Amino acid sequence: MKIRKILIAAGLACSILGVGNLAAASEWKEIRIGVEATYPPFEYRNAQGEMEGFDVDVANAICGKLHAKCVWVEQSFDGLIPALQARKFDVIHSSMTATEARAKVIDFTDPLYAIPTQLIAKKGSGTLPTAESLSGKRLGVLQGTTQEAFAKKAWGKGGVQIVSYQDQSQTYADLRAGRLDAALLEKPNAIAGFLVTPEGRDFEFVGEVLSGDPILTNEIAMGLRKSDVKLKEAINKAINELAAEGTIAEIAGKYFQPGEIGLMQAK
Amino acid sequence: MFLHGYGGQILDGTLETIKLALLSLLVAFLLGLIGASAKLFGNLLFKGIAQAYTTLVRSVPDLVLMLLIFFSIQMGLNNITDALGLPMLEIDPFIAGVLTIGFIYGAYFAETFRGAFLAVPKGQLEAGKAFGMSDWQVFSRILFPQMMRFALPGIGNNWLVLLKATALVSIIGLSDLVQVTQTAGRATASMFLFISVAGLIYLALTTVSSIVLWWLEKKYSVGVREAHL
Repeated sequence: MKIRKILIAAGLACSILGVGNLAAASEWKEIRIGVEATYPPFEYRNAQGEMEGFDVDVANAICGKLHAKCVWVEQSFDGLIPALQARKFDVIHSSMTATEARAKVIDFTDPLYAIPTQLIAKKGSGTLPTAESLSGKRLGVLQGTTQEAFAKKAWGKGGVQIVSYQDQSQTYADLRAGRLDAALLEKPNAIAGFLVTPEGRDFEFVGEVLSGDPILTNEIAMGLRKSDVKLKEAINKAINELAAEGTIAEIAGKYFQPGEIGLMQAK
Repeated sequence: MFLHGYGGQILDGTLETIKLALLSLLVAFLLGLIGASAKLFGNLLFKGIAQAYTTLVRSVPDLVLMLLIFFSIQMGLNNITDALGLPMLEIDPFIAGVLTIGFIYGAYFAETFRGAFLAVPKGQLEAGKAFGMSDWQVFSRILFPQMMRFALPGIGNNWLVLLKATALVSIIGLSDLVQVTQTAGRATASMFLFISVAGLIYLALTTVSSIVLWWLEKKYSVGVREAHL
């Protein structure tokens, strides 16, 4: 009994120091990537059941650089961080913003791209992304996002009613139902998920892309366990090579209009 | 195109849901029988364990239990295998789903069965004993067939709730009916269509279940005369 306790304690110490992971991390045959495949055009399943999207193509390019195979593991967004820690996969790549709060629990690679934030409202409504214009109106945001944090900070006290949704499709449904006057969204998802669909035809972007507040940086990176230092270094190297070669910009051209997302410069 | 080409995936998701529900039902059914027997016929220890099981499980939300079992047990298991220098033992999401749903609904089944056991007159069990039957014979020949008649309405209830509770597994990454239709709905931006499809498929599954339950009720009511007023 005592020996077992000591063994377990030693094992715990090893895993905390990352010793236990060294053997597995020295070479990667396959990299298991956790993803919630419900966020077009970043990651989604097409009708053939294949994983598609900007994040997917970029990850495949990174795996190519590491001579590894990308293996996609689906997981709901809320379960991504617990599953990473339970080693269900090795990397999170699901358009996740590298926030300070998340960085306390997991590590992030160098940022891959930044997503601009813009307001949408009914065509011709004259709504603008200012506290005065939105005062007394109902504004939809996605729970736990940069947009929610910004809206609460900048407009929360100005009499704007901020409604947080668990799921972007609920935001869109309520916009159509007239329960929301406007929604603060990530620009690319607002286009692909709503504005280009028949349901979103009465809506448009109002005002410019928001800027000026550090929260709005909204940089997306891949998440890793804090112990996987080697994998993080290897991925960072691959990201920077791909950015320098222009590969990431090329992939972005396939999915986005210029200016829809902000690409990072190679270090 | 019909269902935007996602028909095949929806069929797979439906099969996954059916497999998950049937296997969970098996686990829940067995756990329920064991739990009810322990509560009614067990010694103090078994009674205590069964009481703790039904009380705890029925008071914690399903979602919380699911996350607890799938993630926390995996982390604990990792610590143990690391300590012993063994490779990681991965908990398969499907097995985790079946065991968790079975474990949760076993507690509800235990109460259903306990009620049904109590409805069988005690004298019948004593008569069986008097004929020299063993405990197992009394259970399988006298108690079980009669109690099933009383248990079936409750079983039907539990089964329908269990069938719909399988939707919870999408949180642990299984491609069940709900997960597949949500994915398709978002990829094609026609959420309402796919939610309706999922609803209709669940309706079809529950309709088939009702027919099977009706047949079972007939089977277990053999020899019972009903009075018509």
